[in-house]
Amino acid sequence: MIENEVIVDVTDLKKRFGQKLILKDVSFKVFSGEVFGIVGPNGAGKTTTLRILAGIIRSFEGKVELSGTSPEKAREKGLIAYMPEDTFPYDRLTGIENLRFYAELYARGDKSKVEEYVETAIKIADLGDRIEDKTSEYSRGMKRRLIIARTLMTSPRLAILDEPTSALDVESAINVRHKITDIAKEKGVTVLLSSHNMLEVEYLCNRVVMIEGGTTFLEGTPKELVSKMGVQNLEEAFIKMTKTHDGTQQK
Amino acid sequence: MLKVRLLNLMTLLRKEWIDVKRDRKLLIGTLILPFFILPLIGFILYASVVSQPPIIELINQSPSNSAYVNEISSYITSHGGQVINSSDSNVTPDVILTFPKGFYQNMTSLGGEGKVYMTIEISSNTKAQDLVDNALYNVLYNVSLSRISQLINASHLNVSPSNVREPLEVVYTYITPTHHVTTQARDQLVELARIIALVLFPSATPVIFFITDGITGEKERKTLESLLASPISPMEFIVSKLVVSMFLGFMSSLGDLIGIFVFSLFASTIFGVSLALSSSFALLIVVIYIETVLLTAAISLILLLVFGGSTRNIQIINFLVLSFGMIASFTALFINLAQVTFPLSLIYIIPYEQLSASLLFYVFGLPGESIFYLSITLIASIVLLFISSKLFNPERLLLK
Repeated sequence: MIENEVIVDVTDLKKRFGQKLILKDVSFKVFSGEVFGIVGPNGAGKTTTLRILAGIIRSFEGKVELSGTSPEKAREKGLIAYMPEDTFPYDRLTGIENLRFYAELYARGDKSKVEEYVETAIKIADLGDRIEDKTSEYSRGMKRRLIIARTLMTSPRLAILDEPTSALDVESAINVRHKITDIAKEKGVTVLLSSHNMLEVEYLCNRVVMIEGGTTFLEGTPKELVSKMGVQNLEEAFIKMTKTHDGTQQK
Repeated sequence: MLKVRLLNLMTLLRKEWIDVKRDRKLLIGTLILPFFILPLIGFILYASVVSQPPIIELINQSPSNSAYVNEISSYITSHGGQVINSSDSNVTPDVILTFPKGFYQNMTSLGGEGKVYMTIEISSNTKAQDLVDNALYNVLYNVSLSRISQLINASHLNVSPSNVREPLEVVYTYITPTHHVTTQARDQLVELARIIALVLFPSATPVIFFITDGITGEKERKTLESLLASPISPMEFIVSKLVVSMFLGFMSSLGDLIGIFVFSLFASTIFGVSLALSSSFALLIVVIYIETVLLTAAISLILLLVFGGSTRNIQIINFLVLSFGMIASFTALFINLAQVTFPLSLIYIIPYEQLSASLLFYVFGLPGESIFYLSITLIASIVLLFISSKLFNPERLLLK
């Protein structure tokens, strides 16, 4: 890991869906080994930004680079692992079959890597013997843990997690947060996550970008954001940002 | 863009296979059921013919007519019909044939005109009227021969009664559109080819479902976004869906294919017509089935990528592909493809038309043209797949 190496470089990102400009001007940088948070209200453009970074949305304006390459190329090289907010495992496959399927796609024919990825994922998912069951028999929380494990198992250059702990009970959510910090620290995985849970963001993220109405509002460490906004915590900063934006919109 | 890594493809196919293998509804509904449904339809059709013979009621209003009534009766029964009399009140006849008083006298006198009354129940067994007409013609033929004999004897002429009765002999020669002499069996083969062309497309329709469900099913089950973000190329994604859809499509049309071969094997026993398929024609049928499945998959895929994968769009795709297929099926049945000229020749632009043409040109004795149209379809399918890979846009697929 190179200190201060820029993993994600987003500059003046714009994205239209038809006539509607969803992302007007989004800019931020993510450095190697960071856990970086994207926060903003519903419709702010968080998921669109993450989909662009994951190489799914390919038409946009502005500069988006992942380790100096385009998101699409980074995806094809297996440098990115993306967990969408609303995603499920293949329900007719067992947990382990789901893991093996993705492990094979990322391992590129290296059988020892496949086994290594699956072993890592089994540890992260922590589902015990249920890993051998079809995922149609899993609870929603179990499915979520499996997908998080699948996303982190390859120790990707960039792990993109959209609402990683949604649908999880408190204990599972805490467990997942620990896994994310452990992976980031131990394996040097850069994590980019979005969340509506400001406590979670404050706990997990080294730095945060606040997006509102498709525009970057503020970027910095949680402490810096709180200080700049003149509030007590990130939750209050979030509320103040939405009010400020609403006021600007009304004017 | 067109990169296909075998390892990725194998991984995707393995996943698809496990997924399909464990989907019992899919297996029963589209693979196992056709093997039972098609023979069942065949059995029902056979049973309906055997258990529902044409029923003819013969009413004889004079005992003197009995000789003719018996002749008609034996003709009908020997040709698969059932004869009843008015006392069988629990059976409804398709045709009632009444022999009035004086029929025998009129038929046996040289200048007499016999008259019978035929009552036909509408929407009845259509074979019944034909059977009675043929039986009456048989009587008519014998009576007219007998009368001619009487006249020849009276006039002391030395001529054959049958030559007087039938002074014209028609000598049939069957030729192909290329003017090569062929046999009546080849003509029967043309009819079989038209039937195959008619059933060809409907048997491939499950492919539309397999290809659309293969892709939009991932979207509905919320597995598509993760897969699109994995290190697979668009072509790997497309090819994996295509291979599985084609395999399933071909399996579900296998019953149809087997049915054709069984039909040709037993045609001589059942219909008295030899329809033995040559190995090259059998091979052509198999290739055409594979190409129909491939073309259906290619058209469905490109339409899916252009329109997007919403339920409404899938309905539009279904409608479009079915329309193309139905047009091709019916033109094969009604139009002589060997003799179409401009502007009717524009029908060859319609998908599937080329496959019908390939089949018919082969039985017309034009193997070169047959292979040409087969190649055109194969090239068109590959081009469509190539364009599909170019059009492949995960954003469109995911969000539309």
